[in-house]
Amino acid sequence: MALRTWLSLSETWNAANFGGTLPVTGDIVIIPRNARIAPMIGLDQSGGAGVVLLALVWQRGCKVGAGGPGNLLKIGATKLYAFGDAPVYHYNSGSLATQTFVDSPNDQLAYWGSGNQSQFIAVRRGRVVLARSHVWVHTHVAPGNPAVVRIEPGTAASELIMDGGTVQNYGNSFSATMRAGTLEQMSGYGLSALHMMGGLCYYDTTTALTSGYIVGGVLNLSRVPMSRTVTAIEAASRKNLIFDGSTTFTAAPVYLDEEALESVA
Amino acid sequence: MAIRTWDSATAVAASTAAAWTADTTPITADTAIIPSTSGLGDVLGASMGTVDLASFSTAQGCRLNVGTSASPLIIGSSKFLIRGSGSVYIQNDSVGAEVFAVNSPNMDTALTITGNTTASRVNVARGGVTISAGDVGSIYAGVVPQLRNSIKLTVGSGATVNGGTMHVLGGRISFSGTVIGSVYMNGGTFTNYGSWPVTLYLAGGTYIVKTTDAAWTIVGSVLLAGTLDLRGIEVPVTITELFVGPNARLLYDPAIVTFTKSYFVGNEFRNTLAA
Repeated sequence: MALRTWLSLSETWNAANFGGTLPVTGDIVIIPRNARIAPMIGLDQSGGAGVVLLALVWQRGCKVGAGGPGNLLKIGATKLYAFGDAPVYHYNSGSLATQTFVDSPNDQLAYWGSGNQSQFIAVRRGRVVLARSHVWVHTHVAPGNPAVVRIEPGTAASELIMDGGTVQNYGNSFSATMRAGTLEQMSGYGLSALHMMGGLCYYDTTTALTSGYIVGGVLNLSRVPMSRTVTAIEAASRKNLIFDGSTTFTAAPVYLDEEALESVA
Repeated sequence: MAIRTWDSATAVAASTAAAWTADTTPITADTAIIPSTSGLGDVLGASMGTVDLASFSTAQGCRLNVGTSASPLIIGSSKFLIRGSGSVYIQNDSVGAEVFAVNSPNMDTALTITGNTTASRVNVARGGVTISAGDVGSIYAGVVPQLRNSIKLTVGSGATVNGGTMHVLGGRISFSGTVIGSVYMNGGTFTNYGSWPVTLYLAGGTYIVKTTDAAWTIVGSVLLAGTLDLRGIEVPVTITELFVGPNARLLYDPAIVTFTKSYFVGNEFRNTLAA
């Protein structure tokens, strides 16, 4: 395991830019805060067995990212830290799932991720776009610009955990658990299970919501007038659930407070 | 489907026809009400397992007891609504899904479920509830604001929360049964003396683990806020998967608890490599 630091001699991901030795599997690569040139050429490190770094780090304050649309940094990394100011275009070509942490002031694009490997990603600040085969997404709260995550169609998000920020989900998700923030579940894709302890969820899709526990926050089923089916839902009270005639409940919603306070006289 | 109201001036068995209005014992699909009328005698236990009521309720202000720990009322009902201040002992023999809904000023023994043949939902806004045996699908522990922390929900050894969920908004829960499902906490205190749920989603409150089982672990759990207190674990254990957010608090003894696949998200964001 070696520590390799990007020297900003040119745009090319080559040995010269890392002090004479190209990073290999198990290394830690740092793009330092004083970097002046972003790696833009020779970004495909996926040949052969592929390189899987131990960590790939953009330091806080770093003004350069990596690659661009259609020109992705193809490299595996067990952990990736996108803490800089510029966009990082990344394709995880490694054999391992990547743990990605994003805390960037860039509210236009901080991290763009693709690749076939699964990815756990935690976003504290900055905008993230994910077009991968499989992701777990955690969002958290931070002062200043919030976390904004867009999950592209075709991406399976097995678990969304939200503690703040906004997630625009165009993918199919197994479950979403929310304490804070806003989840927009968009047209054509759905959730199997929604557990809300806070926050706001717009369910703007015709795909059925098969299970929901809304003990905090608000589930809004009426922002977009589209027919949708909800098969089972329990809410702490009526204030937690907003819907109109466009929603069909195969079983009446259960309001837990009314159940307990039901008049029996 | 008739409404039968308890009107016995003396304590007699629930199966006594003369103790109900129209001198008729409630039958399947009836609604049975234990009213708040003064001068009535307690409802003693009886074996009415073939009866499956639409609803069984004790009214607000009712002080009567129903059954005893030694002789519970054995009966089925789609809903058990407990609002009185007496002690109610039920052995539920319903064949379908049912609801136990409790909002009682009795903080100790508002409801004791001594048997439950099918998965049900137990919904406690206020009052002390004991589930000593049987199969429960989900538990919802709410709070009445002016009486916060007044709930005592005890699941006795042998009880099972079967594939369901527990939503804890407040109160105090002491658990020693078996959970096969998920626990979602917004507030309150949950002390787990039993086995661990598959997943814990902690958004508030305090979850305390007390175990001597070296096989104890958690999988896929998430701490968003609140406190997970593992200092009550007395033997070395291994946690295989846990996400700890920056707003949560995790208390543990490093000599006792080993993490093999855990993400301390707050620490990751403060990682010294990128500081």
